[in-house]
Amino acid sequence: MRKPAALIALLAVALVLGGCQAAFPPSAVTEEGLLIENLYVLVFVMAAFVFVLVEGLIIWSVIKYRRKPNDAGLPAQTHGNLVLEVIWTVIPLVAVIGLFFASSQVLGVVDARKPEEVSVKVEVVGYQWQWKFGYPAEGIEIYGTAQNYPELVVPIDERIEVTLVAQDVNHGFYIPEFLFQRDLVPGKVNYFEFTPNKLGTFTGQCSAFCGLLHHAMGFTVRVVTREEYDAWLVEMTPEPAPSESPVAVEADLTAEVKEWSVSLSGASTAAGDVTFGLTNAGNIPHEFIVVRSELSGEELLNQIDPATSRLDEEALDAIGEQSEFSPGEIKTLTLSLEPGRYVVLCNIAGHFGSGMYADLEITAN
Amino acid sequence: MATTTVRAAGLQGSRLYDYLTTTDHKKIGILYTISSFIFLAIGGLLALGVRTELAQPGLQYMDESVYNQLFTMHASVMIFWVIIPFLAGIGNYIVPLQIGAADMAFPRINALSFWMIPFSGLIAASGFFLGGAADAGWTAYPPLSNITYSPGPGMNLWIMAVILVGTSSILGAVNFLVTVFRMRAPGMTLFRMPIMVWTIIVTSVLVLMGTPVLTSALIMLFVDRNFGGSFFDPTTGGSAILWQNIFWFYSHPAVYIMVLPGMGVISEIIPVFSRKPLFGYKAFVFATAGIGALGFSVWAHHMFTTGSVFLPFFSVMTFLIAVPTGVKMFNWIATMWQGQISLKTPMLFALGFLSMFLIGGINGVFSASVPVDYAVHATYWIVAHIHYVLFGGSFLAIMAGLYYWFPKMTGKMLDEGLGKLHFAIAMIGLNLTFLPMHTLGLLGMPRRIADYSPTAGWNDLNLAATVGGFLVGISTLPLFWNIYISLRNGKDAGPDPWEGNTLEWATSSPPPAWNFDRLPAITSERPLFDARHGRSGSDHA
Amino acid sequence: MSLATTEHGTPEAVSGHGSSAHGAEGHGKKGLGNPVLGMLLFIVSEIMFFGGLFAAYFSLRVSAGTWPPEGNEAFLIKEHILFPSILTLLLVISSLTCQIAVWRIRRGDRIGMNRALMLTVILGVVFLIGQVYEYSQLGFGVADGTFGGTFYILTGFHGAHVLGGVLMLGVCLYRGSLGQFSAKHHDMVEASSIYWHFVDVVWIFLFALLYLV
Repeated sequence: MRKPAALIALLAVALVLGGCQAAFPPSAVTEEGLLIENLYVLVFVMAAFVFVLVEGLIIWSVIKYRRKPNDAGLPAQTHGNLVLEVIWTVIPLVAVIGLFFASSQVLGVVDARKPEEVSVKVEVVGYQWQWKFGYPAEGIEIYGTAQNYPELVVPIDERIEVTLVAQDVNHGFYIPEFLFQRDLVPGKVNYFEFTPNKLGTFTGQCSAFCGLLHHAMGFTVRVVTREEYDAWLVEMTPEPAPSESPVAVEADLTAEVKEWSVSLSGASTAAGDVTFGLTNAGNIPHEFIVVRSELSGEELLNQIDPATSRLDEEALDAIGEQSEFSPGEIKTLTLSLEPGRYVVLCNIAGHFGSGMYADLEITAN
Repeated sequence: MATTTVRAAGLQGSRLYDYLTTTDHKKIGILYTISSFIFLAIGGLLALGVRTELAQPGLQYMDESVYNQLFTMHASVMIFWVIIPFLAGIGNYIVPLQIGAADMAFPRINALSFWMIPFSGLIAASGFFLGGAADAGWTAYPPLSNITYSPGPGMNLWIMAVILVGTSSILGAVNFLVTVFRMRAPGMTLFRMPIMVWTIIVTSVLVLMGTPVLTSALIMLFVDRNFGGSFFDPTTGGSAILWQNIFWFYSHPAVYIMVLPGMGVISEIIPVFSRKPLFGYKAFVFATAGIGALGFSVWAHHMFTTGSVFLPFFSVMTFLIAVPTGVKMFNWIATMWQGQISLKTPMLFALGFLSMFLIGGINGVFSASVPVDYAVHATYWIVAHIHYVLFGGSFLAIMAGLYYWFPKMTGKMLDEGLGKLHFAIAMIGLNLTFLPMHTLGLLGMPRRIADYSPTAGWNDLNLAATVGGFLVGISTLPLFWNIYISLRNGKDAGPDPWEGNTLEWATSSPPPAWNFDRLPAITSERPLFDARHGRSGSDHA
Repeated sequence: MSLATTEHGTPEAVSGHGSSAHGAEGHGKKGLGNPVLGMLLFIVSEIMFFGGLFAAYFSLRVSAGTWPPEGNEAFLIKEHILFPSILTLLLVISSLTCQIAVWRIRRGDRIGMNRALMLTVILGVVFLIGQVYEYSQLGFGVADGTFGGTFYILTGFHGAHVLGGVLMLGVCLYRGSLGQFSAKHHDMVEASSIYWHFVDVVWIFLFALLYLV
């Protein structure tokens, strides 16, 4: 019979030989992350020592003290030993207290707030299921989509302050190569500061389960030189917005979409080519779908699939749509519409159910 | 110790009716075991669903909404309807026997406690057929679990089911405590009770004081969801963090509820199969009580990354809880040291527990360090930790207890060869599944994701973990086969097949309805050992 | 499965088996019977249940700043405490009558116990009716922010516990009227009275927190 202890020993050896890197986090790319990485190594060394020692004792005792056929009588019936108890209580106690103090040192640096040393401030807003990165000082806003992850650009070797705001549910701003994450908690604003010390592009992802597309809430952080950063700022800063009404195109109907409504400038219009002027007046991306429907928008609410919080688009008679567009964007959509009853809506998960629809009647000419 | 069967004719005399109406702690213990195995199959299939989807990048078999239900219900089923009831069932069977009592203090409440379990499990699982089971994670954090973001019926059903199963636990805890405090046989002082009984007592205190807090949180969530309450809704004055605090106030002690009785089982097995007394009996008692007490002081270590926690306190308490756990580990090894170890299946599973819980305990210490937790929280590192302590720990201990006490419960021996096969496949499967998850977590793979990027570098490890998961599933096959053939044809066990130390071995297998015809004198924590070797009690040092 | 049931004949005298084979009585020892100990432990769990609700109340109240929150006059229940004070008084009196019932049955006075229990049950029912009336007079509901939510969940679950207590005492009254209790055997009355006192104490805390402070 294969000794199970030997099996365990084999696994341990395999782990050690088979990939030391597998047991360590990626190399940190921030100053704070480097401290965390070193702390990890300290904990790991102590953990490895304890594991080898204790597992070794288990395996050794099973091998050495295996009952043999010629064992007569009972082994010595030792009940305990106070000295040993004290030793193996005190030593681990000292060890964990030591680890606690080492951790506190690192924590003091990682969580430090030094507003006077901060050179770049960014605001991160998380919502189901993407991110908005804002540079308030320059008025820059970057919206991510599932197909196009947003990128946060920061200069190397400078102290960056990040503000975290949750729009709807809990999210987590997690960058593995920073060895760091911080939650976005609705109703509360979180902050942290970091100093990148390596150039490059680093991936991040939402780490707090936030519903259907939690797995698609990715982003990147790109660390560049100060010169590159300044150039990027210039490139990204938006032109001043025109002061007049944003819909500068001749539209039959204008529609304003926001959380949580679709406001049409009229409840009906004539059949034929109908041009919609669309404005996203909200804080997150929306879409605009025109659906032919005998049921009103309110009646259609009953058909929301609770599993996805959306209408099943295959069951809808959709004439056309404007796919996701960002807050502040203006789009036009021209469709050929026959007389009848229609509903215009946004079918991003949860949006329709929250009220983003309007009824529209197309009348005969 | 007669074993003739005398039954009334017809329905009332059938074994089924007997089990449906029994208040005998032994039959109830067996009912708990059967129910737990059924839910184990359900929870296991849910896990295989998760692992199958994650084996390769891309959503091949299901969409996200199904995946989210799978992992939510996998965790909920395993925690509330498998591990906790399995251990309660072992306790139910064994505790009255080990203290020399005839039954539990409140036999009818005992039966009620049991029947609430499959009933509530059905309620939770019914979500799958009624428009979607709960899918906000077993931790159900609002606002995600609130009505706006989880409008389906599954969450409501889940809440009701967990309230019911929690109530079952609380009633069970009252029963255990009164039984142990009031119904011990003469001579069985508190410090002569088996450690198994001590762990059940401490666990019962945790259940009594922790579970009601979860109930209060669930009720508040239910009010938020269905009656316009504002407890956890930040848009109307509530607090999302409030849920996390109240939830974890229970759910952290819950993990000790799930492991302490398992440690009790191990503490019964190792001395018997080493032919030595348990080393440091009193240390075990104090360590158990210490873990129980400390267990109430660490809950916010699940919330280190929220920015709303007094970090130093919770970090230091979390580090401290490693100390009594270590004390137990060293005492178990010292029990084996210079013993005469026999590697029967119960002992193999006990050794498996020691090694796997060691890993789970060690990787937990990493998270006690707040900065390191910033790196590994909510990643697969934590999934590794959870499963090493709950599967490698609690579940292996349950298996050890099953193999150890099956002869007592049924009068038949289980086959050793099949038992060893089960053990080997389980150990390989468990490590193949969960060891790679440490690396996945360090590389940055978050928990609870239905899919991952094909270029992240996580493909091979996920595939390995899936293979391991199927091995774990396969490992249960020799067990079920073993139970089947042993019940039909197993060797007769007799009252004491293992040369046990404690009172359950001082009666027939299975025991008569009233448990004991005669009790040996109780002058130490090993009354049967003393009787067998003609000693008059050598109370531990 | 060879889980044969054995003949349940009369068990032989079991050596040193002091505790009763039927766990429900357990009064072989002096002091608390098993049902009373069980009830005390159950009350520990109930205290923790209310503790969770209280923790939510305290946390939400502190973070709200002004309490009651401004903007809704109905929240000023502090200014209408006469009626709830009367209810409080009734509940306290009912605890007294309940304890009198216990003292009487300990002396073997069955009829006296029944009378005192009857009074207690009546007072409990009056409290419940009064609570429902109070609800109808308040100008806010459970959906009115954290103030409404915490008020109704605390008083509501307390009321549910009062109902449970009334039912328990009702059963005691019923069994008492059938003569099932005596000076030596009245565990259920003891246990129910402890529960009733607990319900009363919780109310005093609630009343103080919600109406006075």
